[in-house]
Amino acid sequence: MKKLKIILKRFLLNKGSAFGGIFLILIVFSAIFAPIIAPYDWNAVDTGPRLSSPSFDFLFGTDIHGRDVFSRIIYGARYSLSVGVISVLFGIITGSIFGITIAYIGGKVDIIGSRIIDVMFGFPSFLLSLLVVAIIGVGLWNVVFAVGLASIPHFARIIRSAALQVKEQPYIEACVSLGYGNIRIMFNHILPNIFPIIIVIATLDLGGAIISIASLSFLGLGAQPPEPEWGAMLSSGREYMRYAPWTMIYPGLFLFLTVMSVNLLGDRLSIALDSRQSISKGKV
Amino acid sequence: MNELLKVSNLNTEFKSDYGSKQALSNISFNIKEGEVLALVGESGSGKTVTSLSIMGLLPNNASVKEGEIKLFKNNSHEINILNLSEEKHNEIRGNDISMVFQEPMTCLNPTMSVGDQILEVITRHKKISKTIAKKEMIDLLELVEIPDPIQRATEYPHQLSGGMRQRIMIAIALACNPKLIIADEPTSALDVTIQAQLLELLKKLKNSIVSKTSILFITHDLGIVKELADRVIVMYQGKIVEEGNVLEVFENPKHSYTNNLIQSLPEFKIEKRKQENIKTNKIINNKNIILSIKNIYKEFPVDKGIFKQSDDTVKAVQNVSFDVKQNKVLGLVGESGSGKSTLGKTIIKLIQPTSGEINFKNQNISNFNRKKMQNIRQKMQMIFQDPFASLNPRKNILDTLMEPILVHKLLKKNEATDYIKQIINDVGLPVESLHRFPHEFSGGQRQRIGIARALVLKPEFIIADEPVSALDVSIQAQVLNLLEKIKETYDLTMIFISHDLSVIEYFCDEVAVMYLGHIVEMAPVNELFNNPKHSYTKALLSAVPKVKTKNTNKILIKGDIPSPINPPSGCVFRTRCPHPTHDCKEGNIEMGLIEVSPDHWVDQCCVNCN
Repeated sequence: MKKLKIILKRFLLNKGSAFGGIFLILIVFSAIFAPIIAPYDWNAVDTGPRLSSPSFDFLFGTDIHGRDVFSRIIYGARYSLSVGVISVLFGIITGSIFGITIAYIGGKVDIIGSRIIDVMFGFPSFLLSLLVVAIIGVGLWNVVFAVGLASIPHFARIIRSAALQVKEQPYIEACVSLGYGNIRIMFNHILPNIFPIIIVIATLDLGGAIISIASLSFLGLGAQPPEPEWGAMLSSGREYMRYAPWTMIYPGLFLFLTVMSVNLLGDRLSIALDSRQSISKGKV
Repeated sequence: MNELLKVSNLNTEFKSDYGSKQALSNISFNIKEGEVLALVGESGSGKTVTSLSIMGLLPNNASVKEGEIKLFKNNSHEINILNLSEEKHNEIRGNDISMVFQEPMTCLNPTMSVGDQILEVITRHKKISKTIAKKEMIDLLELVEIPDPIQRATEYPHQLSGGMRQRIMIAIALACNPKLIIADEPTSALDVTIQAQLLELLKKLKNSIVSKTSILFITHDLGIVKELADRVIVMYQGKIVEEGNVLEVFENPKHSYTNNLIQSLPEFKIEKRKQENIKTNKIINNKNIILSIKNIYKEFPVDKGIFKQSDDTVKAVQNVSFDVKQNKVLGLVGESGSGKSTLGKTIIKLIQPTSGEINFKNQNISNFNRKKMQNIRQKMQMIFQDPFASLNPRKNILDTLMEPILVHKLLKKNEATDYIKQIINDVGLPVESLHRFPHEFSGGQRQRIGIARALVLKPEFIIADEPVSALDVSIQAQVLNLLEKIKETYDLTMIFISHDLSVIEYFCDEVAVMYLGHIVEMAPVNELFNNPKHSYTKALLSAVPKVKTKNTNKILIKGDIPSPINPPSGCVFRTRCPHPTHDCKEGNIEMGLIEVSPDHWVDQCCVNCN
């Protein structure tokens, strides 16, 4: 497990990824233990004066209904992270199956499949998500589905080209000569060899997915009040931005820090998993 | 002779995440003016690192820890290369010391014409006018025997063949009359007939104009050393184990490693076996034909894009027929592009033949689909060329060997483990290796795993596609021994594909020589090697540099293999044939094998010529 040690070392040597890692651990921790950490019920109205500024009692102030912003952000972490992860998982699984299949079968299937990807690329992915929401309706889980769906072409294209490379390897030829079936070759032999790539692109995409879902919620298409989703919190704080900026600053800040942490981590992950990089030269 | 370069006590180190590794330890040698010094050793012995240290081209993670490399300029004036600034070093590179690399494909700039690339070197180091430089460039192209040099100078690397490109590299290296040329495996990437042409050129250069230039020739091929070099240095694990006059070292090697290296050459093994065979002399005469292929054609369409349909095809295999008798090994030999690998893959149905019959155990499998092939595959297996890429890096050895058994439902999982242990033992690996991953093994060990994987389904017939080509000589010998052993114990029939004639001679019972998709000669192995009939076979046999015998009258064939998209009409060999008749030149003679003596088949065109 020397290799694992080196990957870990590469992670910790870098300030960005160390910060990202620590912040994400904090967020995940507070999402899990939200009922213990949050001082108030996230949905309890009039826990304090309305729109009161941050104080010792209300760390991040209160909103128009007198709800504690800090507690709502802690609970909101549950949404932002899980919806991001779920939508990316949905996108990457579908994209992987699609990409590997068209790459492996090749020929006309590959040409047609690739054109479908190209066509879907023609739409900006945010527009595509909007379109999907317009068709299936408003709601947090619909938004998660829409964002995941919009990310499929991106994943499928990268995974297709990675699978094409692996497919040309002699060990895949060896599999055919041993009489293995197509499904076995695709998912038992090609998939494990592109797994590092899948992990990296999924992590790099997670930040974007969180932002997209928050944006759709901000537009009122995703999480509906009173759910403490960060995007929705930004949206409801917008009207009082002048008098009570903390209702927007804190959800925005946490959204920003989470996405940044995920991206820092993703960048490092792609470097750490690249065995050609060397840390001995100090070029980390 | 004066000393030109003196390397003393050179220590070079590589650093990586896993710590530092000594690549060279205490290397000391010198090169005299005008001599050819060969640096020979197996991969990882440090021969390339030595040359890169001299050139100052070591990768970033390598550094010279200790030592001196002195270049003697104009007799008395000496320079320690290691202390030079980058700028000063650049003055020396290309001017005093130049280099010919292994891969002529990647070492030329694809966006510049070859003439300009030679000109660039000349104008960089010499202050002469453009017209004189141009004249010099054409002279250089003539020197390296490039036909039609004025035209060729305007062409780009991709328009030239591999052999031509290497000639251009040599021209670039010669451009400024350097005192030393470092040639790092300059012929290893080339086919034997092209290699023979280049060696001939180097010999000529050595004896003529550049007689004052020294050559440091790095190679793993002892035959080339014998043919070209004056002195030889044998390297092993970063150390010099032997140094001396070429003839002396080969006649009377002092170090046991050198001796082993020489003894493991197939030509020596053949000799040894001949002596043993006189005692045992068992001849199995089995007439049972296990595989019979008839009129196999394989043509690949040339892709020109999605919308354009192309009528051109790569004619990879053309009208090939032969039988393989039970317990015999048929060797397929030919240069790259001769279609031997395609033929192998076609027989095992990794590629669908365009037309023809493949009869395996009296069943025509040529039109079998994948499902129907399933049962055949168990009886017919393949050993692949590249031991690094032919094993799935994410599976440990147990999984790699277990999977085929489970897919074919040969055994239950618990029984299979014992069976796998037995097989891994048979291929000479310890049982502990089952839980390790491919990257933890050396090339030879990986090839053993590849062999185990082919054996695990208890096949009757194995196609071995260049199974030892990627391995060092001593490892090659071990793997060949193993293949011989398993052939006996598992009662196998084999097709053995190789470009290496001496390996073929050692291992096979019958040989088919392929050229541009056609079989041009086919005979039992002794008959073919003692009494070759086809001019191509003769040329191929004489092109191989040998340690033991001196090749006195070499039959050099000119030019390169024609493109298989547009092969010559009639006899495909006529463009390179050393003595074509009028009829062959016109392409009037169709190809086809004729039996000249029992079991000895030769293409009819060449039978008529002789």
